[in-house]
Amino acid sequence: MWESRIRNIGLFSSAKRAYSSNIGEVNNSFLPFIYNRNPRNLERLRIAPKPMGYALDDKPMNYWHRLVVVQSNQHVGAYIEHFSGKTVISASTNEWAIKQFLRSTSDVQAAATIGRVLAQRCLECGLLEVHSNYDMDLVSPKVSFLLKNIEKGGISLSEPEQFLPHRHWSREAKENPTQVYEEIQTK
Amino acid sequence: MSLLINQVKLGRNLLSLTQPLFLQPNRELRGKAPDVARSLKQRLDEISRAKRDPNLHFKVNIGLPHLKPSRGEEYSCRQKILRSRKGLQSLPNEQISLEEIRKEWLKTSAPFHIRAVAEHYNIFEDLFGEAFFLPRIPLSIKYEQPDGSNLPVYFGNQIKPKEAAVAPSVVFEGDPSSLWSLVLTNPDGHLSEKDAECVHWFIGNIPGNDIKKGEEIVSYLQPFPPRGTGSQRLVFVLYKQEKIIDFSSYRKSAPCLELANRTFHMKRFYREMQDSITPAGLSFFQSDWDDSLTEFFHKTLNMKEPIYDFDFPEPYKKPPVWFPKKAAFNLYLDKHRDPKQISKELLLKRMKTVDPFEPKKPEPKYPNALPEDNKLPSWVRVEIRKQRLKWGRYSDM
Repeated sequence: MWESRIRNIGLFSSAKRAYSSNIGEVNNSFLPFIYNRNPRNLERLRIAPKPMGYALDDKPMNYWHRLVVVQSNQHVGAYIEHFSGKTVISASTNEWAIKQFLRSTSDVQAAATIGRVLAQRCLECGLLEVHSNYDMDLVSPKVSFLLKNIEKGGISLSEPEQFLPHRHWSREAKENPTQVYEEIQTK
Repeated sequence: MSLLINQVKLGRNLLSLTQPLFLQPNRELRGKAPDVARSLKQRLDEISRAKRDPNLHFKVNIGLPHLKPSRGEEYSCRQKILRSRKGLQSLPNEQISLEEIRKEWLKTSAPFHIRAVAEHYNIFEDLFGEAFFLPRIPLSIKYEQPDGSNLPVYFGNQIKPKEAAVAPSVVFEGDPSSLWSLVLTNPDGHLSEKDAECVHWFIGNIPGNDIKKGEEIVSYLQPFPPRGTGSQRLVFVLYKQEKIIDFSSYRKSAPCLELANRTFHMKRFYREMQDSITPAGLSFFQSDWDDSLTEFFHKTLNMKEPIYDFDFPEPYKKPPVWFPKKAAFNLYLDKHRDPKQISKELLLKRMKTVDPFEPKKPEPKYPNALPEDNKLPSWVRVEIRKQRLKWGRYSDM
């Protein structure tokens, strides 16, 4: 696992902008390296490694976060799980907050509601892309409603690829995710 | 003679591939049988469990005590509601209100769910170390935008620094006689100290509900994640106070723009005040670089804008050798050149073709269909073809 260590590539000051003459007097010292302790930072930047060693498994663990749908006789639920096994976000019809508004906790309406609630919770927690092993063509109508509502809610059911730093002599030339910003792209 | 030996070796290798593993020469069966051996996941789990002794690695709940209502009463109330719906089929077009679900969620499961997300973002470990708390008091924090809309702060959603330029409105349910403190801290990206946080806002002795009547101990400063560092977490922690506290040791004169003065350690702060404050509410967002920050660094913070790049490990290169065999000399030499020198030369080459006063030349649809210079050496011609196709280091040209 790479440490989230970020190196200062140089002090940059724009010569065109006018700034005060006593620049750098007070806020002068910064470390050559910054350690961003946010554990989700590398995943957001697509730099974090995905788990290795499970490529030959039936459902390989090639994701950062995965969506799991749980169906039982009485209830329907779904949760987002990190590859380390931690359940990050969950929504289930056995929660009182959801159960009291449903006429049935196991029908299609319940599944659809779970999809909408999970999508809302994912947006609130900053998880916008999640890996899903479910094939829309092979899944039951209930689960397909759940998945469609998650997508409608704004969550993408496929994660981006990991960015591997390429050598300067190689043919690859993908953009470095630490140097891509939304505003610059839309200009 | 050597041809014969090679043929015999090849034959032997091919033979051994058809035999089962335990009959192949010079091979040992390592490890246990497949039905007994542990899988990779099982072995990793064992290692992680061994590292954490439950007698040593346990977390302490420092949150508010929770008076649970009578389970019997709660159950009977809920059963009444459920029985009234029993047997009714769901209506096909019925849209259940997500807002109502969320309101009920805040009263019931929210503290546990928020704790799970906060642990996923490592908030308790980075702010408090070996402690955690269940955020029983829901916080409603909203950043007002110039167009009148509101950007709420939930549990890890992204808010750009431009959008968080002005202090947000904070709403929570508080008894008029109660006292609260609100701290906004950034545990990532302190520019001069490694494991320190930067306090962006600190209001103490808030009576009841009203943030404006509280004492502003540290004035609000917008997030300023430096370029190239990715997303930083900004955490709002609401503490419930037992009595009026003297925060003079933490007070900074407004507006405190010297970043060294804004160094904060939540763990030390809590340790000092733990007898009179209890954490009750939690909310956090993530912030990323934005082009308004260049001006913020220059004008407000009065400093040069720091730019960072991720420290990738160096790519592996075979140690250089005097006479490399079967290696194209230009590719071999390029590998061991300084990449900065190479990109400098490419930049100079690019600048020769670009004229700021003339419009951009249209790119040919089939670049390699253009004539080539036959007199040039072959390796130069290959490089020209790569430039035309914009491969690798030529992709920016």
